[in-house]
Amino acid sequence: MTQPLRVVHFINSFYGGLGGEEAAQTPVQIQDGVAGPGRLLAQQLGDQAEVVATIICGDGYFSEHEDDVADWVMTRLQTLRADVFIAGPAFRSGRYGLSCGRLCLEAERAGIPAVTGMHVENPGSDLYRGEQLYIMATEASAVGMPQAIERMAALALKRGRGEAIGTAVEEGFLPRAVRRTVPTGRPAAERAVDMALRKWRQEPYTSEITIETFEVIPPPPPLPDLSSTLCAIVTESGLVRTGNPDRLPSAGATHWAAYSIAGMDRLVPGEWDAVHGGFDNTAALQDPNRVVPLDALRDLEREGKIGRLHDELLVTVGNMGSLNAMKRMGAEIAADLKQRGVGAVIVPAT
Amino acid sequence: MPGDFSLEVGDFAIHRLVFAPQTQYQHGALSIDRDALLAAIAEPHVVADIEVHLAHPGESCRIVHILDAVEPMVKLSGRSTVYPGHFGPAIPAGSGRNHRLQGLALLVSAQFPEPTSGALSPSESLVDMSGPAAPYCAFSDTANVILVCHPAPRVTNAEFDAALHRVKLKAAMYLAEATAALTPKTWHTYALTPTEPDLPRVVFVDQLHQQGLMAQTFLYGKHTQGLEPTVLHPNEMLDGALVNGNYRQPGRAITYAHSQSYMVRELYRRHGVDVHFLGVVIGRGWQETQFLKERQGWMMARVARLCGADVAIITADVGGTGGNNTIDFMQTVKACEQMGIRTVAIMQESGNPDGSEPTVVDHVPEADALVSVGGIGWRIPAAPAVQRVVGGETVCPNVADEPRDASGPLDVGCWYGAIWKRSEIGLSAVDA
Repeated sequence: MTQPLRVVHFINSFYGGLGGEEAAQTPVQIQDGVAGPGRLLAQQLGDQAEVVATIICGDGYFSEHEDDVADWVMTRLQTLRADVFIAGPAFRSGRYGLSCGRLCLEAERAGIPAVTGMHVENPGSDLYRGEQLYIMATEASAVGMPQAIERMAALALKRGRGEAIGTAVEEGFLPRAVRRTVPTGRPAAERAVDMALRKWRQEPYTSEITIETFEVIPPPPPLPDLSSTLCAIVTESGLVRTGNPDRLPSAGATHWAAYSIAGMDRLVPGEWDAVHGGFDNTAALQDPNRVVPLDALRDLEREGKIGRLHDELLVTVGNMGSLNAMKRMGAEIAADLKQRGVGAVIVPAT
Repeated sequence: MPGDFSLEVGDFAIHRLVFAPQTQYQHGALSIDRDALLAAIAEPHVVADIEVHLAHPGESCRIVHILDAVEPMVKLSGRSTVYPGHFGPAIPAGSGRNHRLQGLALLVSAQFPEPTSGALSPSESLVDMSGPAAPYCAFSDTANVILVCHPAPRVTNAEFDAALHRVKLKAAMYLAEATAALTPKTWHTYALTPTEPDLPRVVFVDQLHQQGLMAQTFLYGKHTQGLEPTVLHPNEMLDGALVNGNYRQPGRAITYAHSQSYMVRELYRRHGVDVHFLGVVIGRGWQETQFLKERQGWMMARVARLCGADVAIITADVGGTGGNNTIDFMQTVKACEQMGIRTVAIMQESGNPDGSEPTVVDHVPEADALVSVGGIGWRIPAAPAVQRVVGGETVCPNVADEPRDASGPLDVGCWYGAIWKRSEIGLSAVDA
C-alpha cells in the first residue's frame, strides 16, 4: 500500500477550542495531530491520509497580520512536507472564510493542493472562487459540519493523489470560474425546448451557463498636465506593418508587437495592414490614421498640447481575445512603457 | 391550394457515391455522370474549372477550404423552386412536394482570387472523414460530393462568390433530380396543423450573420443587409429560403444547417405534442452601433409578440455567439422577456482549453435560461496525417502562420461546422 497522504489542517481559534470572540487575537500556532473538527476529518480520511498537524489562528489576528501569517503557514507546510492542505470549513463566517481562502491560495501557488469549505454567501467564496480554488459548498452554520467534512475529505484525497476531479455538481464545490465541455447525450434543440417549457410552466429549471461578471475598471483620474508628458499609442486593432512581420493572429492573440513611428507624420496607406478578424478593415486600409490617429496626435504634439509621442506604436489583436492573455499583455505593455518614461497612453477604440 | 404552406418531403437515403456514365439513384447509391453534372452547373465566364470529388465516412480523407455545404433537393410540385429566389422570382416557398437526398452533402471548396484581410475574409475550414477530429466536424458522417472551384482570370471576389452560389445550388438540384421519376420509401408531411389551445405558442428566433461579402446570409436570393426582422414559415426554411454566404469563422452557419435547422426539426417533432410551433423570426445580428443592436432586439421581440409567441428559443449563427453578435443576441433575449415571452437561448461558450475564461462576453439579467453547446475547457483532438486531401495542397489555419502541408498532422480548431456539430451531438459545459 502507498504511504498515507500528509495533511495539514487549518482552523480558527473558535474551532480550535480556544474561545469565542475574546480569542480572536490569538496568534498563529501549530500543534501535532488533530484539533476540533479535525477529529471528524481524520475519521473521514481513514487510513488514506494522516492529519500531521493543525494550525490555529484567531480571525482578528489573521486579518491584521495576513501576509505574515501566510508566510508562517507556508514555511510550516514546506517543513511538514504536506501533501494536501485543508482549511475550515468556515461556513458563513466572513473573517474565517477570508483566512481559509488566502491560505489555500498560497498553498496552491506553492504547489500544494488545497481544499476548503464555505457557504456560498461567505465573502471568502466571492473573493477566492475566481482564483480557481476548490471551495466545498456548505451550510451556513456548523449544523452542516459532518457533510462538509465528508465531502472535503473525499475531494482532498482525490486532489492529493492527483486523481481526476468531477464537476462542481458531482463533487459539491462552488463554481470556480472553470468550465469543461461534456457530453449530455441530448441535442441542444431538445434541451432548449425542455428548458423553455419548464420556464413557461414556472417550474424550476437550471441554466447551463454560469455567468462570470467582468472586473469593473474605473477610468483613471485625468492627468494635470499633458504638455510635458510622454504619450504612447496602444491599439488592439491589429494594425501591423505590411507583411505582418510579428505574425499577429486575426483572433485570440497571445502576444503584442511594437512598430517604430519615429519621424512619421502620419500612417501611410499601403505600409500597414489590419489583421484583426473582427471588423471590416476596408476603411482602415484606405487610411490607417482612422484606427490609429497618428496624424491628429502629431498636430497636438506640434501645438504643445501633449509633450511628445513615444516612438513606438504598440499593437495587438483584441478580437476573441482571452481575458487572461489580455491581462498579461496589458501588464507587460504597461511595464514596458513605464520603464521608458511614458506617462500617458492613448487607446483608440477600434 | 394557393397560398398554403403544406410541404411533403420524400427522402432518398444515400450510402454510396460513384462516378458512372449516367446519373441515377439505385438502392441507396447515387451514380454521378461527372460530365453531365459539370454541364448543368457550369459558370464558364467566372469559374474556370470545377473539380468534382467524392468522399465517404471512414476514409482517410481531408477536405479543405470549405465555404459552404448544401442539401441536395428538388421541388417536383408547388409554387416555387427549392432555394427560392436563386432560380427565378422570389415566389413564397414552403408548399408542394420535394425529393431530398438524405445522408448526402454537397460541399463547395474554393479560394478567392483577390487578397482579403480583416473580418471580411474567409477562414480556413476543414473536414476529416475519419480519425479523432472527425466526430467534431460537420459532414464527416455524410457521403459528400465536393466541388472544388477555381476562378477565371481577372474575376473579382464578388463575381466569384455570386457564381459559387449559383454553382452549388444548381448542383444540389441536379443531384436530387436523379430521383424525380422514383417513389420515395418515406414521405414526411410538414404543416402547422391546429393543436390543443392550451399548448404554449413557440417561435424560433434565428439571428443571422450579415456584414458584407464573405460574411452574409441570403434570404430569397438577396443579402440581408438592412433586413428588418420578419417571419418565415418553417417550410420556407426546409425549402432553402436561407442560403449561407458567410465564410468568416469555421463555426459559422451553413446552408445545410439552415434547411436542416435543428430548431425547426425539433419544434416540428413536438408540434401538437407539447408545443404549438408558430414560425421562425429572422433578423440580422452584427448591427453596427449600440443603438442599432438595442433596436434590433426590440424589433425581433416585437415581431415575435405580434405572431402571438408565449415562448421563444433563440440562436445566433447556429449557436455561434462570439463577440460582437452576442450583444445583439442579449438585447433580443432582454426585449423578448420584457415583452412577456419566456425565452431560452442556445449559446457557445468562448474560452480557453483550460476553461478559465468568462463564459460569455455580454449578458443581461433576463438571459437566465441558457443552453450551452460547450466549446470551453476542451480541445478538439489532434488529427493525424491523411492519405488524400480534397481542395488544395496547403492549409492556413491561422493568418499569422505560413501555409502548411494539408495532408500532415493538424492540431487546430478550424473544423468545419464545429458549433453546429456540438449542438447536434449534445455537448454542453459544466463548472469543473
